[in-house]
Amino acid sequence: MVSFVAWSLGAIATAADSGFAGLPVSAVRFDPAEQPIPKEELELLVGLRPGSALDPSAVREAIERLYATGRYTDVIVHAERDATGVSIRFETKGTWFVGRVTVEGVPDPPNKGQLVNATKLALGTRFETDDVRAATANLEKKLDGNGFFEARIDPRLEYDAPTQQVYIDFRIDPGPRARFTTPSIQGLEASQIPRVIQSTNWPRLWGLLGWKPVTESRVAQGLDRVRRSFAKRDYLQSKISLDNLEYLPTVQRARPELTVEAGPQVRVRTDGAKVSRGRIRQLVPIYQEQSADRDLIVEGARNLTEYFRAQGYFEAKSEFTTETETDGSRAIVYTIDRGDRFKLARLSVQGNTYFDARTIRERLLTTPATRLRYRRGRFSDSLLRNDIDSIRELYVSNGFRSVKIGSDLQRGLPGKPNWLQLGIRIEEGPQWLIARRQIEGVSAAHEAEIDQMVTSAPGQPFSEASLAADRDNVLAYYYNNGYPNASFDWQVAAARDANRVDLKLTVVEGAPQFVRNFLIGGLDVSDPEMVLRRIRLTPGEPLSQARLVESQRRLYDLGVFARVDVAVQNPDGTESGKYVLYQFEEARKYSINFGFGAEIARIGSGTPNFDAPAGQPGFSPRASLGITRTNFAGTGHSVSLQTRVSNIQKRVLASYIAPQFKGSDNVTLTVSGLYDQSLDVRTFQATRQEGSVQLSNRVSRDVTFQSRFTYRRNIISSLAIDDDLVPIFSRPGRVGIASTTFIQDRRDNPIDSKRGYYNTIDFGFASKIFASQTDYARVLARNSTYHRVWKDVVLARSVAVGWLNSFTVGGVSEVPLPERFFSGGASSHRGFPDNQAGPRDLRTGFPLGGSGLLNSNFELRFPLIGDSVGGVLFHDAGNVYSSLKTISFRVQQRDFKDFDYMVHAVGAGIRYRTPVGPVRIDFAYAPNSPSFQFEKRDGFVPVVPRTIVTQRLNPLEFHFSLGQTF
Amino acid sequence: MIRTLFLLAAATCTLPGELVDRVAVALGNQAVTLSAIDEQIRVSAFLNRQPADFSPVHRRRMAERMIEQTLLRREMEASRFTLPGGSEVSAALERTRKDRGETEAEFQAAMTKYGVGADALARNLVFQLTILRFIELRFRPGSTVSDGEVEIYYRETFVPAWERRNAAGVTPPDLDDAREEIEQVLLQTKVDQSMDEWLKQTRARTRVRFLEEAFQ
Repeated sequence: MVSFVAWSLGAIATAADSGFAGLPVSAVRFDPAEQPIPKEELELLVGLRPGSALDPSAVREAIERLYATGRYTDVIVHAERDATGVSIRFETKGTWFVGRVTVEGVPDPPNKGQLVNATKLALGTRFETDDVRAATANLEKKLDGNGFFEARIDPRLEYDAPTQQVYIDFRIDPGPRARFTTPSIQGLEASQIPRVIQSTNWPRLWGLLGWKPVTESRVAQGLDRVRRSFAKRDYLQSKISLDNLEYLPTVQRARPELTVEAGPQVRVRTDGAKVSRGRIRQLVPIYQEQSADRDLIVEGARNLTEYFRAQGYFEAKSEFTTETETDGSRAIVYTIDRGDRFKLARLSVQGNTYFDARTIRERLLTTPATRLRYRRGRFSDSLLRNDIDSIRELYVSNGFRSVKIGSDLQRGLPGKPNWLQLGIRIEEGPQWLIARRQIEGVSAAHEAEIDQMVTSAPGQPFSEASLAADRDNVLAYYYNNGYPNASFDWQVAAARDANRVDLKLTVVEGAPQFVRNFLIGGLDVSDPEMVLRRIRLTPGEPLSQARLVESQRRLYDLGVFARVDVAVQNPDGTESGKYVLYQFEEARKYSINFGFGAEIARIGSGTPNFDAPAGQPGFSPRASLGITRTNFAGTGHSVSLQTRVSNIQKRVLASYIAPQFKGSDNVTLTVSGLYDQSLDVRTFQATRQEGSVQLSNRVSRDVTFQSRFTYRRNIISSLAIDDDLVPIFSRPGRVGIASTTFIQDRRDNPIDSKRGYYNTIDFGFASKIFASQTDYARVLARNSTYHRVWKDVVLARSVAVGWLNSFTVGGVSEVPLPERFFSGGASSHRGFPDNQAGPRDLRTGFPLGGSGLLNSNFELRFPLIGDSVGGVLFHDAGNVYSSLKTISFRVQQRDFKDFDYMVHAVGAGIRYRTPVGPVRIDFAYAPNSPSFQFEKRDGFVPVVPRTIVTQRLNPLEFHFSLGQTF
Repeated sequence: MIRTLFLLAAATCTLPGELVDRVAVALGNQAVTLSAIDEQIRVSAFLNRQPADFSPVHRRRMAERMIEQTLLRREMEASRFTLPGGSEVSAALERTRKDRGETEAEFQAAMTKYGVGADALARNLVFQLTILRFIELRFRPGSTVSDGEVEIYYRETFVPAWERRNAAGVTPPDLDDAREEIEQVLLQTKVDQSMDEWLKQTRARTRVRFLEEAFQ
């Protein structure tokens, strides 16, 4: 027998070797000499060495290995005798791989991405000539579906031999897009057809303007509308199918051929308990699914049972029957037996020692009765089953493999026959621990990481769940280190000690893969170096899936690419060096935005009016226009110019934005120039010319630091205060200020926050060393928090504190007016009109701004009507103070010169949710709004005789704007 | 134009040397070589004691079988199916020899005559052993036979076959006595059907390419 086995391991010459077997190999050549695999790797794959005896099975294995690399479509081996033995020649034919795929010439829809996807030519995969035919057929189908029945497709192939890539460009002459025409509808009476046609929404303006152009989405939406229109009339078993979209070339119309099977009307009713129609629609899924399948009807019965059990009818049952009514409709009758109504008064957990009761209870859905929320408790058989499963899972995942969970339901408590007491019994059993752990198959380079990563270690509880988590972590590690074929397995054996296991983990790493090089395509204007700098891999490094994806994200984040496809060329091939393909579609270079809007508030008319220093209701129409050039000079940077014109503001902002500055993901450089002529503060007309450079660094997901230097020139004109009295304000001011801002944003949604907090601290320092005409420091800090107090009810609060101090002799008055704090209005203190809070000029009554700021807002946000309309109740308190020291909580104004007190405002508002944030109207009542006096004037000249006018800011304010207050 | 001329010149240029082996069929990135097909023909002819047929038609037929074997092998690898050990291989070789009623010397001579190598024969027998177990494991659990099917088979197939085989008047076994045998037959049929269906679907999903020059 031994001789038999030994003999069987040997090899004898086969017929295929044609007598070459055993001859010494004199040479191994390749035809063509230039091969797609590096020479060293090729030699390893072939394995035939000059001087060794030729083994036919070795030749076969060499062919199989070469072919498995995916780089060849054919390998033929020839042999020729020569003086020293046999010369072997590998004749090879290379594979082509799909590189760039473009589809040009078709107007949207379908868009380019949809068309490229329709070709089903996946980047980096093996390409065969037949694929073009299939891709063309797929494109034709896609184009037909979008009304381009006369499209002509011209595929053009371009081969790049060194990289074995083929570039496929489909040039399409789409022809005209067909319009719909009257559909042909089978299966309905003639009288029903017009209604079905209208419900498709294919006619334009009920058919008065003809028919809409054909698009795939219109066809699908039309069919869906028909389906819904039948469902609305209780035809829940209707079947609507599009059999054909017949093209009529002479009129360039497409006739949809529909088959409609209306089926019977299906009505649902309940016996034994009253359930509202709305609730039935919610609980019986035949309405949502628009189908009356038996499974859905059964699910409806289950939902009804659960619904009643949740109401305290813990023994409720529901069954259904289907009946055919006299009018031919189908009735689904749910017979509900509610049984008695109970209250789950007590819930106890017993037998637990390893976990405390709190840990177990927080996993339970079953809830004993509470005063408000669950007046009868929450209990049903299915909830209890879920809870028992949750507890079991908790124990098993901690090594208690034989845990037993039971329950006792006790009905009736003394004097309370319908009160229930539920006890959950736990028999923990022994905890199984890992005695020994052995990890096999991990190479030395990865041993330390894997050892640290695997949490199933000696002394730890043994559970399959932990092992599954270990497997996921280990495989993720390998995938991200260039081992795409790694596998992880485990074996468990009982250890010598009781309740202990020995664990054997086996890792098969598979062959590592490395980046051979990058093949980048689709860049027309972008600098390839700019792209390469953002790829987190370099040739020769392990092929990490995580880094591939991260690089793709970084490239998308630049905002200059409409599409970034990443793929590994020849993904299934066994070659170790892989080309990584990045295929780009550049976004449009220019984007233009424009808009029109209006502001209605107590903002004044745009011209200083000396009779109304507190402002007056005004209407300010505005227009905006912006142009952005993305990917400026192919650098990934963008340049934009935004303008806004209204009767209170003229503004031009030019910006240069360099995202991912100096290769850092989180740093953005912004250089901007601003010209702003503003009338929104009623004291003056300000012209601001500003240039700034800012570095923004997002140090973590929620923390951002901004550092900037701003050089600003203010020109004050139309000064409504007496410039003889405060001449400093009328001087043109030049400010050079260095500032830094800390932003911490943990809000769930910045547009309409419901949870989280938002903190900002802004510190600025203006000095003559920055060519500033004034020296001052400015700090403004804000803290906002958002708390969900009940379902959709949110309590939001915010407090802002500001401090301004001049370092030059003369104090705060040296600080130019526009640099001072102004407050009041829709987004700060709603008891004031815009920017009307704080100190005022004693002769004219106009606001001067201050150097101290305190503002507090409380707001209760709640839903009012449906999901779109909400309401708020708010309280705002605060003011702009003449200095930080004068900040006061005093609520009464001492005299007409006193503005350093706290103004309170309460009010209510309406919010209408839109995709860009809520549109809001707020009404505020400020019972202690300030009063002030000023001299009546005729232009800049006080009237004679001198007349003092006393005015009070209107206690009732309204604001209309976009976005939440804070 | 230059490229076309170059390709034409390359195609017509005859390089020296005798063809030793080549890719005959490709399943994705997996190659089935001409020598592997020929080896399979020789082993099959040896086991069936028939002359080896290397005609293009027969080679193609064998290639088709090898495609199915390759698909099954892939499925086995994917499901980490345990391969038979060395002792089982030796036993299978020994059993084959005994089945043929040959001495070791005669057995070896027959192999030499057919050009079958011991390793090729061992590979083949291992695969046969493995595949039978794998098919049982993979396809039998999903196959069930109902009482109705047993009754129909008994009535429409079993009894007529019994009557054809036996003289008139011999009563066939009743249904309960024949049930186990019928269940085995029906189960095996269903297992075969499941496997055929699986092979059909898997093959449709796999890119299979015949290199026609290898079959000429």
